[in-house]
Amino acid sequence: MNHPTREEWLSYLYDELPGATKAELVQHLDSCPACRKSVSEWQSAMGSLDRWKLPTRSLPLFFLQPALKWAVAAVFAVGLGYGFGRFSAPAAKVETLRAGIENSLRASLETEIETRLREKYGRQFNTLLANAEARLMDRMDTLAAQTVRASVEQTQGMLSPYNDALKNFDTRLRQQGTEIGALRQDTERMALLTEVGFRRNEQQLVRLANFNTLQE
Amino acid sequence: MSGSILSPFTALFSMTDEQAMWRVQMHDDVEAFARLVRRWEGPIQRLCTRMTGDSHRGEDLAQEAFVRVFARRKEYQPRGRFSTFLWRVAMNLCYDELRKINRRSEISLHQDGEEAMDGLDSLAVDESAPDARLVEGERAELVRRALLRLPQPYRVVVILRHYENLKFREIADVLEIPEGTVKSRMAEALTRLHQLLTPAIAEKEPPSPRKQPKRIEESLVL
Repeated sequence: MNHPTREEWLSYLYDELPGATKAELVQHLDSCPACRKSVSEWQSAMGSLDRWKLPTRSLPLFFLQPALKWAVAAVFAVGLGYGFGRFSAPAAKVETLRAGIENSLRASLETEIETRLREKYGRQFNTLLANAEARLMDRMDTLAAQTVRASVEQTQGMLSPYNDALKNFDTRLRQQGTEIGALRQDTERMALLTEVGFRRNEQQLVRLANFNTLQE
Repeated sequence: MSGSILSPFTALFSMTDEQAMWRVQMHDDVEAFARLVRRWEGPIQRLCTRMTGDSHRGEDLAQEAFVRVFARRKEYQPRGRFSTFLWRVAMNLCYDELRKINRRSEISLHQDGEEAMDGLDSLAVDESAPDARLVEGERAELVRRALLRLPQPYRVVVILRHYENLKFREIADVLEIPEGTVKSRMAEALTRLHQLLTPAIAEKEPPSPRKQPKRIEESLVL
């Protein structure tokens, strides 16, 4: 007896055989205990596998929800229009019509989504930008004024010791000038007196010399 | 009900996977990609969960698979089917993950029943659940463990054919092996599963009032 191969039995079990071949296998199964045993074991394993069922959890998809909603609505509306037109219009070339509608639908969808996005977010964006700019300018003005004020105060604080020192120096310089003036007068007076003294001594020496000469 | 009324219209305008992927590839169309994700998130999550035996890990891997598909959108060849491309990406991620797990020796088939249930939210059994549901949960756990016992080439064939209902021809395309090889692996896998599961599940038949059920570890002789 020619037994069908394992591959054929697997195709049979998963219903992938043409009707005629399937009938032959069924016939063989009735008359062959060995094949019946194998097939029964495989069927039992298949039944066991069915006991492990799994639920499906949606993967997180957070993007494009609003656009999708619009797209679905647009497809629905255009679909209805198309259906109505399809039944009311005289014989038309379906393929051409379909291609045309698909293209125009895609184009209109893209335009619609783009326009709505611009309308919705464009205005908000411009307002936000203007507000941010105004706030930034105010802030910058305040900051600049604060900075200048702080720097003037700091510079003044830093310069005050030097101003004091300068004043002290000036006072001392004036005092020293006065002292030097007095010293100079004293020196000049002393020089004059010394010179007078020298002359007197000189005259006395001359007289003394003349006196000595006369005695001789 | 509304689905059936609208289906002719939606079918008329709905994109095929390949068209959607083409839009993703050429125009970076995020909306088309979102559509692909919604269509395929279930199968890919189930594949990853069954391959790793862990629903949380399966969820993470499925997310990673879609991220990878988007990142590698330019590599997609429009000649083939999108689903084949996606199955392959997910499957390779599962292989990588299993390799990492094996390296860390994370898979513990000897964990106690309570820990085993942690990875299977759908099968979590509370104390107030009726006996039949508890037994059903334990049987599902046996199947999970038995699948993890199968070598990876057998496991992936079982998952794609039995759970995801791909034809043998399609599985051969995904795995890039002859169709005959797919079928013989499936036959071998079913034989091994029968040997693993039949005695274990027989033990889990609803117990008579006097008979104490054995623990899972005792009944599943692996």
